[in-house]
Amino acid sequence: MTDAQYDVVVVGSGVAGALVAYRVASNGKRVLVLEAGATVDRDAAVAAYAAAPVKNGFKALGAAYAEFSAEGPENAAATGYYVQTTDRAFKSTYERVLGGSTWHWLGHTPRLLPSDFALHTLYGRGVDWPMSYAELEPWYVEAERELGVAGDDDEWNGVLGAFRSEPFPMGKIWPSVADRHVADALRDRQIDGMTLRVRSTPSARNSTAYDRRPACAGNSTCVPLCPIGAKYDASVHVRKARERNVEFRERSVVTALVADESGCITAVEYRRSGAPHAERVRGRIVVLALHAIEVARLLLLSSLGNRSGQVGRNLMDHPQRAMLGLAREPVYPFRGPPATSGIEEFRDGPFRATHAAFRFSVGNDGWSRSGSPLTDLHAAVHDDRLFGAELFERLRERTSRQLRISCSTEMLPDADNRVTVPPGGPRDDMGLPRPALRFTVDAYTTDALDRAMDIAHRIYEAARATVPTLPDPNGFSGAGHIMGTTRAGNDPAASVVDADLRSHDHPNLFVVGASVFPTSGTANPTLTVAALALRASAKIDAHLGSA
Amino acid sequence: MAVIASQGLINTAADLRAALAEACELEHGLACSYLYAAFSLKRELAEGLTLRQQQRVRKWASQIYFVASQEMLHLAQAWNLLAAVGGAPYVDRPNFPLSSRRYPLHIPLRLARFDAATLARFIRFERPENLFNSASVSFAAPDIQAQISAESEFDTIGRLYDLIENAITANPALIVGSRLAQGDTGLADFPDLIKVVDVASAIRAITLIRDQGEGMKIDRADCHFGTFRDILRELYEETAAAAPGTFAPARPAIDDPSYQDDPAFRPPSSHLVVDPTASVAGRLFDDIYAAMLSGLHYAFRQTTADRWTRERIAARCIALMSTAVLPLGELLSTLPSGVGTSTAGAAFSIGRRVDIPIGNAWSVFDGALDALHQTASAAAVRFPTLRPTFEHVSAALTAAPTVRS
Repeated sequence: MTDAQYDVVVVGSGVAGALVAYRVASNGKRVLVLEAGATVDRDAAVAAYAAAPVKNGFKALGAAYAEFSAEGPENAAATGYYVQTTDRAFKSTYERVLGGSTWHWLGHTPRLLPSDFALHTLYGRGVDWPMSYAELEPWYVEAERELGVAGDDDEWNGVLGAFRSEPFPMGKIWPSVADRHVADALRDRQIDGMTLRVRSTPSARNSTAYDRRPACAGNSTCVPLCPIGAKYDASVHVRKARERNVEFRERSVVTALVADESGCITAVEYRRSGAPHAERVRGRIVVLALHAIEVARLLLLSSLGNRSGQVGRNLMDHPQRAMLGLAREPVYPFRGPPATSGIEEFRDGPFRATHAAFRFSVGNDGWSRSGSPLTDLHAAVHDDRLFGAELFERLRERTSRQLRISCSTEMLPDADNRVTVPPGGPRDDMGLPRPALRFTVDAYTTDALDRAMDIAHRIYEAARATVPTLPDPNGFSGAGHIMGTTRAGNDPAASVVDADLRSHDHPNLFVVGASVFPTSGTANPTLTVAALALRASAKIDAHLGSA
Repeated sequence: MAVIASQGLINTAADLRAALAEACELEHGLACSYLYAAFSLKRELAEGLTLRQQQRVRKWASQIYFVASQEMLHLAQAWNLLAAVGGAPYVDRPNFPLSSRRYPLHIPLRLARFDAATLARFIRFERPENLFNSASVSFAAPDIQAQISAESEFDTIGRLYDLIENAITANPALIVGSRLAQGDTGLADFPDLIKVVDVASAIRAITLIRDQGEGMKIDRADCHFGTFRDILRELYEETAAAAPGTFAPARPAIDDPSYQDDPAFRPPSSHLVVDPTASVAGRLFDDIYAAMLSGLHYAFRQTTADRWTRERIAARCIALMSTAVLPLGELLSTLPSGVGTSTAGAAFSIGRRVDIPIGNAWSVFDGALDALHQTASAAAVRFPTLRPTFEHVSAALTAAPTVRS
């Protein structure tokens, strides 16, 4: 049965989908949002996280959101959600809940650099974006205002060419003790002929009360969730969208799009959890905001939007590597967000013709990514047979000095890094083929990882910190920054959507989210996702107005 | 001072310095009052809260702590304004409770645990100038609404800052002080702290204070007024959602406690805490607080002292806020007061405060903290059930500061 027509049907309620729904509805349009997951009860999520027996150092996998989530990479059965087709598994995940992955993100919101939009023109690598930094800059301002970004104007205006036309909505999050420790070590020093500066990382985390949400209280559990809502998550714009009469249908998994001969999307087919049959809705405009892997899966299953052959291809992440150190004096981690500052000098330069750019993050979470302090406790009790005051003193002394310097490294788009949906492959709980991933990292990126770790080691030397164990020279982790699978471009033969994020193949279909990124840069993608979504909302409004 | 302010007159530099001293007292007193309420909030499920209630109460505590931290920024900013007009940082204030006639606001400034009446007082202090809409607190009980909406001789604290701003704007020559005599973001951990060097920076400083909370010119949700109002609304919601009489977010902390045996230093309407354990903890709190005030006064005032020493002392004082003052303040609200069924609380008492001398400042200050460290260590031994907190405070009193320069 075909439902009543909406002006806009949005698939997915993460930051991109929620912003589009909110903005379009603010102009009086009738909007429906279909979301695979459910509303998160923050208190219940806190309770679930608190009760999780293993916090896994970085996040309790799926524990906080299991009750609210559609099946996905965080909570799939033992066999896993992804079908991994390469030796090295793709590990980055996302949340399928109302509000999406911003529930569990760290909250960092740096902008891309002007050079990130012109990687091919400048360095002969990758491709260029179909827009410039200057064109997107006003939308960055809007996105920072909508999300509530805290940052330091003096530190950031003009860094690596990224001018700012407006100040940050809030002053910066205060630097951690570790930030100052590293900053002091780098003062009056050069590494590789460069002066490195520790800058506070712009964050969608309240440094003061903002948008009726409290200031950060230093709970330090940003990943997987903020118990007080000081860190932005898209439930903010879900709420605002609801206040503008946007209809949300939860636990509604979109299974297919239907198009007519002209290419117009005429129906969105979805199935509610537990329902035996699919339902359909129609929208004058359909906006896909499902996150990079799901959007590719949906288009491939629907056999739509892929005249270019690029749907699912160019899968990117920001491979990360961390070097852990022990400071000579306490740096008191876990007082505040898991990271509050970074080093930006390696995000651009002539070297990008030969190896990737990278960005350093100074951790404020000890060695938690390797399991500390639980691993420290285990070692002290099991290996060293400590107990009582000696055990307390060992943990206090060691944990208080733990440092982390991580790098996030750009990747080039590679058509062979891709999402597919093999028809004969394993199925998820809705009976849909699970996404199969092929993901490899080339020397452009691995050379950068190696260089980053060399520099990190020299930073530790400058700080006179010890490095008990060097990182695996072949290892890297995912950043949760899944990008590229429906990339934007001016050439319909080489891209899926145009500069307005409208499908080249379907005039009433838009795609928002990091899947549209042609290249990765080194910035956490969410702010750029938000800026693009707001820009696309204006295009959608214009399209509805003229149609 | 009250006379000057109530007459709306600042005619001379001395008048201006007096008005700023009054502002310092208010910022300082408000910070202590807010901290006391936050200290009294429960933290653990074992205190009779459901998980949902615990999350709400912890959020309220974090919000009030944040507002208190901004009051401390305002105090530091008022010190800079004072220094700019030829004054010196003013750290003194009368011990609690203060008469409602102490300031033209005619609102009592006191230490009381968190509840609707306390929040109503806080809202009243922070009420926006001119544009307050009484309908915005229509959710509250009638007596609370009346308390919030009551008129006073002066509308708001903002009126005091208006007088100060008008005086400086009308006579820029009042800006005479050394810019060296002021705190900056390198000296103290306040990213928004403004050095006052001219009329423009003075206006920026005063605007910062007003925008964040006192005497807002618009009713903005994110200022102190809006924060306290939202907390009050949530308090009513959580109370209504719970079975009648079951939701008690705060411990029964005694009003206006005192640990001063000497009546000369104890305000007549304060309540002497007699429980021996609380008395030890309460006196330790007061001594740490006094040491902290002396240290901050030194750091902000002693412009001829070397910068490194000033920074080191300031860093140590600021670190003590979270590592000693906060845990002791919260601990006190859990201890019996010895007066009925009430628990104790932090008195923020100031006795005779002796300034730290230039010359051997670090040695003197470090020695003072070391003596308090010994006191805290002894308390840890004497009161084994409270050992973790006293040991934590003891360690904090010996921790080396993190100094940037």
